[in-house]
This record gives sequence, C-alpha cells and structure tokens, in this order.
Amino acid sequence: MSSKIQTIGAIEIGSSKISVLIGELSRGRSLSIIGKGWCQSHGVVKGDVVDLRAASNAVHAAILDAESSAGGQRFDSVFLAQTGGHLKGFYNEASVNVQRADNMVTQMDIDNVREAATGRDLPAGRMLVHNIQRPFLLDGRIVPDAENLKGRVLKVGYWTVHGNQERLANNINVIRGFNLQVSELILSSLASGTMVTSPEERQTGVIAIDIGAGTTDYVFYRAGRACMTGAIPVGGLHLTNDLCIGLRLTEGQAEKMKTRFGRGIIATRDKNEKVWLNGDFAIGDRPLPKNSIELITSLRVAEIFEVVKTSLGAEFSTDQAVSGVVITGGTSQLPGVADAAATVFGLPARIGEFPGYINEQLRDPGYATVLGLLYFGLNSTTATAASSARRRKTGWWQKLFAGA
Amino acid sequence: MKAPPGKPIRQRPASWEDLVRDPLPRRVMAPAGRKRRAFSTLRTVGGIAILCAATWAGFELYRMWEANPARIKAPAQSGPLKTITFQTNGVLDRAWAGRTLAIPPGTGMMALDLFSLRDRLLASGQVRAAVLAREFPDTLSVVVEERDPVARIVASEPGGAPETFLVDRAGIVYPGINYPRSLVTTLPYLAGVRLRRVENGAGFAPVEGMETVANLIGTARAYIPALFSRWHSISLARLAPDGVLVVRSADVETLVFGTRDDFFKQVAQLDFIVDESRAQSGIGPIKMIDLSIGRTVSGTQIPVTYGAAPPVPGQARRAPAPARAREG
Repeated sequence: MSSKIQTIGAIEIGSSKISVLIGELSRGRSLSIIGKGWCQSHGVVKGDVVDLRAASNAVHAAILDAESSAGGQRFDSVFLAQTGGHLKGFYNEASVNVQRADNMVTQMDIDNVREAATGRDLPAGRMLVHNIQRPFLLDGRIVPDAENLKGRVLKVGYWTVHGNQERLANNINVIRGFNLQVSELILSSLASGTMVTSPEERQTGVIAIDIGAGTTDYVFYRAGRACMTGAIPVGGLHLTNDLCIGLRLTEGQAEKMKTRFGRGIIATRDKNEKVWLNGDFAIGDRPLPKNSIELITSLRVAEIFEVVKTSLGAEFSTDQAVSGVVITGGTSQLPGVADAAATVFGLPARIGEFPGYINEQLRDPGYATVLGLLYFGLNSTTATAASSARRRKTGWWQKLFAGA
Repeated sequence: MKAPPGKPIRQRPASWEDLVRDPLPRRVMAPAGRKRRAFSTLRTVGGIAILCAATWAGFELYRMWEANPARIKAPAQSGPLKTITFQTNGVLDRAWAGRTLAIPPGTGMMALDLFSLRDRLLASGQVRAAVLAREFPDTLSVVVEERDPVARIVASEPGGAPETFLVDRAGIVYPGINYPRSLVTTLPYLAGVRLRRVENGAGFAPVEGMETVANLIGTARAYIPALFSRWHSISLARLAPDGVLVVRSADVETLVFGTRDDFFKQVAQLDFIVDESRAQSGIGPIKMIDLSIGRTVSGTQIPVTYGAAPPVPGQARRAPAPARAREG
C-alpha cells in the first residue's frame, strides 16, 4: 500500500448497535468511505461495556463486516467513540504575562499558558479523555491564534473531560483484543456534533444533542469551538422501558409501539383513540390508548432535554445559542422531538442533517457519530501534526541559533 | 529531566493514551485477534525476509560484478544449442531450416540472435511469418507459416537463364522450394507482367493485381476444374487499362474475364457455352469468348468467335452466331 493512502477505521460501540466505517485518506486531504459494517450490540449497557466477551464478539463481527464490504481491505488503527455516564467535565483557565519586552506573543507564552490551564490534577481513578480548548483571550479580546500578536496578558480556558479509568480501559480493550490500535479516543458528542452542525452555526452558538439508545450526548458550541460537552445515561431504550412498564408490554412490543406511535410531543388529544398492539386480531392482540403512548414518550423526551439543560448550567443562555438546538441519533427520528426541544430550551430546534457530500446510504441519524469520528478525527490529527511541525520550527534548534 | 530554574516539574495527568501503551493482558485478546496478530506478524516477517533476500541477492550480484562481470553472463551462455525443432504449415522441412539458419555448431543458447535468424528465414520469400524461441536448456524452436502459391511466372536473373518462380495471393514472387511437381504444374503462368527488382537487388517487387487473379483462379478451380486444368496462362496486360484478365487455354484459345463482374457468374457462363458448343455439330472450335461484355436487358449476349468448321460433304457452311446464355 502506498504511504500516501492511509486506511482508518471508525468504531462506535453503542448500546443498541455497533457501527464501523472504513475511510481511505489520500494524501492527507480527501477522505473516501470504502466500507461499512454493523452488528447488534451485546454486553453494552448505557454506553459501558459490562460483558467483555459478548461486546468483543459483536464488535469483531461488525469490523469483519466492514472489512468484507471494503473488499477485504484491512485497517490497523481506529478512531473510537467514547460515551457513558461516567464522563465528567470541568472548566479551568489560566493566564500569563507576555514575556517579551515588545509585548509580542511567542510560542513559549502559548505553551506556558496551555500547560497551566491543562495541568489541574484529576481525582483518583480518573483519566483524561479530552482537553477542549476555548479561544485565546489576549487582553480580553478573543483571538483564534495569539502567536506574533501584541498584548500584555494571554489567557486560555480548557474544558477538560475525564472518565473512569476502568470503564475507559474496558472500551479500549475490546478494540485491542482484535489486534487493532486505538489512535484517537473521541467523545461521541464531538463526533456527531461535527457532522450535524455547520461552521456558521458553531460560530454563532448551537447545542447538538445526540440521543442514542442508552445515552444522550450533547455539546455546546460557542465562538466556533466546543465549550462544553456531556453525556447522560438516558436514551431511547428508556422510552421503550417506560412503555413496557406503563402499558404492560414486552420489550419487543414496546419498541414497536415506540417506533410506530411514539412522539416527542402529544398530538392526539382524544383519549379514546386506540391503536392495536399487533393488528392481526389474534390471541394477545389488544387495543392501546394512543394518547398514553404519546404521553409516556413525550414526558421522557422532555425529561431528557430538561436534564441536558440542567447539565449545561450557567454556561447556557438563549443569547449564547443563537442557532438553536440540533438533534440527532436514533431517537431523533420520533416525530415531534424537535418541537419538544424547542419548548424546553426556548430556542429554535431542528433535526440534524448531513452535509451534501455524505453518501445517500450513510444519511441515517444512526451513522452521525461514526461519520463524525472519521471527519473530526482526521481534522484533529491534521491540526495536531501541523501544530507539532510548527513547534519543531520554533523549538530548541531555533533557540540554539537565536543568538547568532 | 531537569527542570529549568524556578519552574517545578509538573506531573502530567493520566490520559487514555496510557491505557493504549499498557501491555494487553493475555486473556483479553480474543481468538480472532490472536489470528489477526499472527497473520500480521507473519506478513511482517515475510516482508522482512523478502527484503533481506533481495538485499542479499543484490549485494551478491554487485560483488560478482565487481570481481568478474563476465561471470554474470556465463551461466546463461554455458549451454550450447543442440536441437532445432521445426514446425510448418507447408512443404519446407527441418533440413531447409538448418541450411537457412546456418548456426555454427556449439553456439550458446544466449548467443543466438533470434531477430537475425528470423530475418534469414523471411529472406527466402516462401515464409510469411516465423517465430523463434529458446527452449532451455538446449533447443531452438522454429515455427513458420508459408505462403500459398496461386500462379507461376518465368523470370530470369541478370545474366542467368530463365527460371520459374511462384506467386502468392499477395503478389510476392519467390522461388518455390520443396513443392511437389504435381502441384506446380497445375498452376497457370502469369503473362503480361513486367517484374521489377527491389532496390537492393534481392528478389522482385510484388505483382500488382494478384488478389483479382487469385479470386478468378480460386473460382475456376472450384467450379470448372476440368476446364481450369487446361488453362495455360493468365495475362494481366489489360488489367489496368480495361479491367479484364485474358486467359489462354487448350479448350478456348482466348478467354476474356471482366473484373467488374462476378467471377462465379462468368465461369458458369463459360461452362454453359463450352457445353453448348460441344453439343452442336458442324461448327469449328471456339477461338474466343469475351465474358466481360454482352449483358443486355433480356439476358446476356456473349460474343463467341468460332474457328473454321471442318467441311461436311453436301452441306453449306453455317454462319457462327452469338451464343445466348440465360441467367438464373
């Protein structure tokens, strides 16, 4: 294989299904998706691996399916999505005085302020997952890149996401157990948010919410960058579970009722309107009040959005999210979910749509995270490579000859 | 690592990347993962082995080249040619091939210049195409495709006696080798042709119009074999100006065939006229039949010229009339 073509896999280990995409990156610029595979999930509850063997078997089946659809093309490194209720985040910021006499910001100032902002110790048993940088503030002004600008005080803030060490290890070991290397661990919310929001929306402020089966991931973008992320262990399976309990149904029946009649907001006012459970009038078939189904699902959907809103806390205000709320994930396919979000957040809300360059076969909300993994992962690795190249240019070699 | 003065070493927070660097416990590796790792290792080891072998071979070759360059060619040249296998679709034989190729005994296989040997075979003219191949360790395979002669022609080398050459469908003139006499004598002679020598003096330029002549001969041989066997010559003298071929034969002194009309129809008409003439009594031998003209709306009026009829006692001589050949 030519070194100019790099084959990368993207894997999302979800609570209901495992999705795998294989991307071929040519010369570090154009990405082609050459294979996709999926498998029903086993051994994963609310985004956490609870049965390593079952989860491994399911993931490995999905990987083989993807490799088969890519014509036997194998990949050795993986961008892995990370979600789960154990993920927590905090904001930390630091500031430094610009060192040069002429007040010009150097790479050393930037390194110092970054180190100070990301150096906060984590609680015991926790591991760093992401350090999401917010824009630099130079004397209070927002600057995307502070190097070579003049100012007195340089300030930067980071949203640091950390997770439980054991749960992270379980997730990673599922992949390593198939002799694959995890090259990037990416938050599901960042991955799906990249796909369903536009750069303009991220600049003006937008909340992207990915309602999966077991978890709901959200990210709040401001000034073009993710400033806050989170994951709550509630998702579409909870709607199913509520229907099971509320209407005394089996899980399969409840899932069917949810997908056929579930809604984000109540549309049926007539409490006597019934829908048949199976529709075949056989033994066990019975009428169910449609209003009740809608009531149960809409209450849970509203609760999910309330929890997200609460999690955003003081960071969130309607002024900061001018572009509103974008919803994706499997549960976003229920009618009226966007209306429920608009009601809770007091903002315009819409269902996420993919950019035009995404293939028709992949334009399903269930693929938002795994698609985002490829695009976000490649962008972040390219940016890291560019940053380290720039750092090398201004590193010890240049300092050595600075005097000359 | 020594910290700069006044700057304490800060402990980096534990990251997920540390998990990737940790050794993987044996029991975590799935059977499919083990297979994949084994395959990957095998592929890597195989790649390295091939690379090493290629490097070693290159190094050995380089060393050999440095020490004695002739040794690199030596193994290939060491086997001398022992056998020539010969295949043809015609009459040439292995002895002719041996004489023509004239390879000195003991010549090495790699010393054979296949292109030059092929040119020697093609120079005879009788060979249309030749394929030569080395079959190691000691055999040269020769496969030739010969030309099919359709006529013969008499020509003389400068200062030499007249000789008979053969001409194929493409007009190539060549001295026929190994053809049985019974085949050569059935070929009609070509007349009215001015042979030109090629610039380097070896052989003659191709005869123009041989494609048409070959079509006529082929049709006549197939449909009127008895009449054709008594054809003496075919003249191409009027081919270019009038578009006709003139045949001299034992049955009819002069036969004129038009090249603009179908030869099949013309030989059928000839057969009919000859049969009709033979059935009639009191007329002389046919001197000329011009099959190139005579088509009319109601049929075909072919001019036939008869010779003087043998005198019959007590009967007036009948004037010869044009023969009428019905179409269809």
